[in-house]
Amino acid sequence: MPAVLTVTNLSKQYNHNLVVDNISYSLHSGEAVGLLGANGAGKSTMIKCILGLVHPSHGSTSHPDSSPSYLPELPQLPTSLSALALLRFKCSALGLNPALAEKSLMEVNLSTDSHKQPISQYSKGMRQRAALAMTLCGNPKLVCLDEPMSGLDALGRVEVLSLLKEKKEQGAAFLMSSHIVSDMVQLCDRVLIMAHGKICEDVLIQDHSLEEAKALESKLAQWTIK
Amino acid sequence: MNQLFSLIWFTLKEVAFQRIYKILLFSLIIIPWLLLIPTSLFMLDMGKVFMDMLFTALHAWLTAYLFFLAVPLLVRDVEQGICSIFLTLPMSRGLYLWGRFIGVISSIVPLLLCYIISAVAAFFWAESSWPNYVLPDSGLSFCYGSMLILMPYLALAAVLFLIAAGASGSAEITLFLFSVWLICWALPPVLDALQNIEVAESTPAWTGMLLYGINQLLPDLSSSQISLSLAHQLPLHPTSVFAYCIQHVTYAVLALIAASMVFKRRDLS
Amino acid sequence: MPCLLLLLLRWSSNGVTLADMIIRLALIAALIAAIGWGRSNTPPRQEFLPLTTSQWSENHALWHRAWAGPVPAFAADMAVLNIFNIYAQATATPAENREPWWSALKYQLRLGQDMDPYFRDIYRLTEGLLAYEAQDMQEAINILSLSEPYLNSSDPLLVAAFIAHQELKNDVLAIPLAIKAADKPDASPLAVGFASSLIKGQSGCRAALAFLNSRLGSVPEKYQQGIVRRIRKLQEGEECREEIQGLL
Repeated sequence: MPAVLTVTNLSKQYNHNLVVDNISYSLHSGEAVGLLGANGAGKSTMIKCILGLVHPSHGSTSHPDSSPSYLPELPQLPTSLSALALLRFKCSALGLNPALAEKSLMEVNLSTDSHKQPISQYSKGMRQRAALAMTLCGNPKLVCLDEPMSGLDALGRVEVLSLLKEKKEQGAAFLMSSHIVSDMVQLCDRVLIMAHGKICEDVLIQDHSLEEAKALESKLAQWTIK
Repeated sequence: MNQLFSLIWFTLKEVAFQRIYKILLFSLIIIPWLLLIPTSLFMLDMGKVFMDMLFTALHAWLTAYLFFLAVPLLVRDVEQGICSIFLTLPMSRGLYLWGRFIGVISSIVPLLLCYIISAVAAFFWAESSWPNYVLPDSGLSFCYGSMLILMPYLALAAVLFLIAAGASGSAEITLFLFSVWLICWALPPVLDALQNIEVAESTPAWTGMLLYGINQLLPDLSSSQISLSLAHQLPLHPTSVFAYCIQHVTYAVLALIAASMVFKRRDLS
Repeated sequence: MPCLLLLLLRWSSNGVTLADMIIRLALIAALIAAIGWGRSNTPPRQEFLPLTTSQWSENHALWHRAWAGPVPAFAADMAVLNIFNIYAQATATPAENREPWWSALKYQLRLGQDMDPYFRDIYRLTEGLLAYEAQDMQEAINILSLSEPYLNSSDPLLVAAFIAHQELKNDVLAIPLAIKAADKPDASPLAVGFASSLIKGQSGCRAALAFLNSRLGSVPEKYQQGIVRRIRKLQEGEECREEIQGLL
């Protein structure tokens, strides 16, 4: 199966600080890869290098089939417009059916009443859902998620996880960065543990169980201490 | 092209749905009628005074538009990362800048239209109330002048985009734009005044050269000859007007190209 | 009153007691009354001296032009409003203390003229206030004569010539101004006639007649009759007849 994303010897340096250090991996269709690491490990920077928001110092990334869709860690949305207007813009820009906008909002369980309200009136959780709808609208082949569960309550997390799994089964590839190990284990097929800009370990997730989550947490703790 | 038009329309809506935009729109309908009050204090050249006040208000609200609508829009894009919504569509950085710029300029059009319509109606009233003191066709002159005065603000908006392309946040964008605006405001009449022998003698030569050099780099906000001539219904040479428009439009295009080059190299965190 | 009662009822139903609401209303009323009392008992703004009594110079022009930026004509309008204020303050001041106000008046007139040389109100105010209120004839003439390249109207130059002749008794200054006034496209028979009378007084009838004849071709048709009448009057007048016959 051809890779939807290939990262080759990717490095990023800010002044004398090497934030991402010679990282290589690939991602295939229908695969979900998690990025786990302490704050400052380089996860968000690597994702931004993949998206083209940050220029890498060395190395390259390639996503031949389509451009990745992105959900940032703290999604900021234009507050004077509604979520529906925002999604309709995306549909219009990508030449998609405008009806997809409403459909995407329904998928993330954003209440119908709020579709046309200005985003300034949304709660944190609603904004996160709107941002997620924006990211998943149009069924992108490659999705980069940075803390997708941020701001969601327990029920919201379950709904979002279920949605992401559904998209994964439809063939979308996910690159997900999160601090919530249990969520990562439920969705991802493998997890890259990062520390000081390097991939320390590539952990294969086998049965998505709680024990695996605990094992992963202890591995993370070990690498973080080192 | 689809993406460009979508972004232009989106930007237009994003700006127009803000409360400050609606307040500004409402104010611009009222302002020409309010300006008739101080105009009535004058004696002979009431039409000219009314036009001066309208042109001054035009400068004021165009400047206010840049600082209170355009700057916050770009600050949100840059500081809060809203631009990543557009860039990860995907959309090229150059297209994003052009789309935002044209959107920002397009959202001035409804404001300008309302202002002109209200001012022309006020001119009709003034011509009928003060027939000996308001020249006929003053409304038409005002329309013409408004279009011309808009030109340097297109260039200034392009400079804003150039600043935002490299700036780190709201403080830098606001400060640099204010500095550029201040220089553009004050420099051209100073350079004109330096033509006077008495002033030139008391000014060191290097000062004049420095000011001239800076003036060449920045858009020429001075439309004083245009507003003065139109207020007194003096003729404007078509070649001069054409050159004036070309100067500002090409400056805006160059500034946007430079902004694209700067923005392409930038890391967006 | 009924609206107020309705408001009272509405507020009381929101959990605010009637007593609280009455106290709040009383407090608001007291504050409004205090503002009104303060304003009515604050003496009106009385300026004892103008903000500036500097002499106008080209450097001042430089700074004002920089300040005005792309709206110099508006700066001229503001100068006129300042002039109205200066005049009001000056007339409220005893006559012996008005000198600083007249200096400020001169400054504002120069400022207005420099910012917008086409502005007729500046010249009208110069004629009325600077010449005859402030009694600064020379400065008034200087400002009025600056209108020549800008205005088609002969009025400012005519008034300048009149002031030079009548007040300063200086026909050497008055005659060139009068001739310039007569040269204007809208010069009326009054302007032409005044110039010719000054020329007659200085250089005699022949010069005055020559002047009038030179203007006959350039004035609008509606004014030509007036000049023809003046020529005839001069030719038929005793003084000129003697002069012309004496020459012959």
